[in-house]
Amino acid sequence: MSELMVQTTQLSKYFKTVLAVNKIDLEIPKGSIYALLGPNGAGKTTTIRMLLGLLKPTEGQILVNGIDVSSNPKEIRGKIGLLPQFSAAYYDLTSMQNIKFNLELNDIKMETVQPALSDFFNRLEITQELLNKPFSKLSGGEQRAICFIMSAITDKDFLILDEPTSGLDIARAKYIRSIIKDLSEVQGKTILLSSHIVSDLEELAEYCGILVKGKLVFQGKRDEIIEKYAPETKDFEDAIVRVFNSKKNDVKTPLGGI
Amino acid sequence: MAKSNISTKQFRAILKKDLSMLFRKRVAIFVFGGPFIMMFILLGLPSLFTSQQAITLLVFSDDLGYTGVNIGDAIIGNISLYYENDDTITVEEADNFTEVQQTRALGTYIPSNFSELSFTGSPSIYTIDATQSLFTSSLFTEIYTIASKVMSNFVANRSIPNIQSIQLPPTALAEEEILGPKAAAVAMPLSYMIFLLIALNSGSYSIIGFAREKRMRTMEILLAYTHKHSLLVISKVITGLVASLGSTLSYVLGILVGTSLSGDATGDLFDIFGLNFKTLGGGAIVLSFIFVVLALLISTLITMAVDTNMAREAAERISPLVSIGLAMFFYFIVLTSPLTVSTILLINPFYWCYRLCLLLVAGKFTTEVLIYFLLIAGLIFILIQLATRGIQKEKSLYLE
Repeated sequence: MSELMVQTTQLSKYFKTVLAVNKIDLEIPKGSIYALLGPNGAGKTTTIRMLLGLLKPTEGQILVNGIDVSSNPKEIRGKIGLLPQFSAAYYDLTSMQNIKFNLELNDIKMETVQPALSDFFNRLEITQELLNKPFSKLSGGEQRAICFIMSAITDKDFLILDEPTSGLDIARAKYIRSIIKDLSEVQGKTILLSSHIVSDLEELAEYCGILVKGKLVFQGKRDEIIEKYAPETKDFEDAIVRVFNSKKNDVKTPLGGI
Repeated sequence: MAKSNISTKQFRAILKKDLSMLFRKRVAIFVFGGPFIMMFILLGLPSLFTSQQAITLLVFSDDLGYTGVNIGDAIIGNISLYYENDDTITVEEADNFTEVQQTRALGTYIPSNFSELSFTGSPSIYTIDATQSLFTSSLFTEIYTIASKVMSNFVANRSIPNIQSIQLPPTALAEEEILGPKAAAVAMPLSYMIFLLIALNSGSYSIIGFAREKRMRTMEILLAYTHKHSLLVISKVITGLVASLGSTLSYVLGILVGTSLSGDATGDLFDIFGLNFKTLGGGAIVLSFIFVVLALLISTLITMAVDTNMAREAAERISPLVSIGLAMFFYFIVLTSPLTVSTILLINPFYWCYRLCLLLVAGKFTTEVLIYFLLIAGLIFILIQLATRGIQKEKSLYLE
């Protein structure tokens, strides 16, 4: 495997007696698009928060681009771009003010990203009128598109995108997928994608990690999962569902202290 | 070097955003406009209907009573001394209580001669008409002070002193002599300002607090991108102070406009808080305001430290109460003895600000000054640390 952007070793997280993440060994190659999959409550968001240094692991080690996040979470601050699961922006500010604040927070000058921004606005049909509206007045899809732009425009080498196309119309979802592809292929960024939308995963995921009840039950290239779990249909969605179902009963949820 | 540079830039961006949010939020209209409207309604509006009515004080002046001292005449002398240029006050004399009852509609009744005690069986009865404004209320307080002094002397010594010898404000205590008259004059206004401003601004925290960031889900982004999390706290505190000072300014303007409508305006901004610029001088007044702002800063930090270390819903309700509780605890104990060191208040940070200010106004640069200074600086540092840890705590961030 090529050089790794993320490497976790026996990473675990307990919330009181509930084991949310159970000794996982993630390996995300640099410059790749890695899809972190799993049913609801599988531990995806907890894992993402640990990678960001927002949650302290109970056990194990996390290395992000060589930085040991588990023992020194301060070091990782400002080095990972983030699109949270739900649209996160200031509802009283306009979309443009939100974008500007995001750039200032990341010490990026507007002039340097203006061409890229214009390109995003064009592709995602974000008009000047929308940009001048308070964020609260935008539709759910428009809000999502603005939040995506805010995370994609940063100069981070590693982006975590949680449900990037959720709530978007077909056209905008398609453009976002093409932008994500460009970010990885053209700009060489590493992308950790968490999504339930099969078209996202089919089009984008080079690598997959499947979490079931906090346990990493599969990790590898996208073709490998198809080969292993759906050789007859060659269908990616089929393969994922089969992994979910086959591992659902295998994985027990241990309780702390028991 | 590079890290501190990015931190400065991030701080500028966060502060700009926080201030911008403060002025956009609809609630801010209430923070900045609310106190003005409240004071205007309380002081100005009634005066449109009542303030121009003359106030008549009715005083007994013919009866020498038990002691042979004509207190009625002495009180009339005092009133004309203090309020000689006030056209709205008329002093009338009455010879007996029946006359008072007949002229009841005139205004305020002062039983200045104690041979009339038998009217009600109680030594001091004051009847105040609804026409009273803030100004007459202060007049009433002074008359009350005179009368109560006379009465206490009468009860204790069975003698009534010459009313001209009674001092306003009361005679100096031992502690006042140590701290000096300037500190004594600053004491009550300062404690009142600290209490009033903290009470007035306790509600504004909900506008600047982290609960909103959590609701908008921007907290995660801020924590992930900001290098020094303490900057998030400091930015919120500065925004809180701006909100508080704006709200106070609105309150003061409300009083000025309200009293000018009622014709009671003193024309002196500092008089609103009981500070007399001519007697105290600029230095003491500036010091007082600095320490009021310091108390507000501590109040905001206490609110923030409680808020960030608790779950979202409870925090918004409980955190202002903690701050207000401490302010009440401070003010009502200070009221009883403004200049003596209170042991029970030594644990109250607002008292540290108050006491340090008094010592500085008095020019007493003692070890006590250093101790209070260290206590305040240490507390501010600890509260910033607590709040910073609070915003990072997974319990307050995710598990609600």
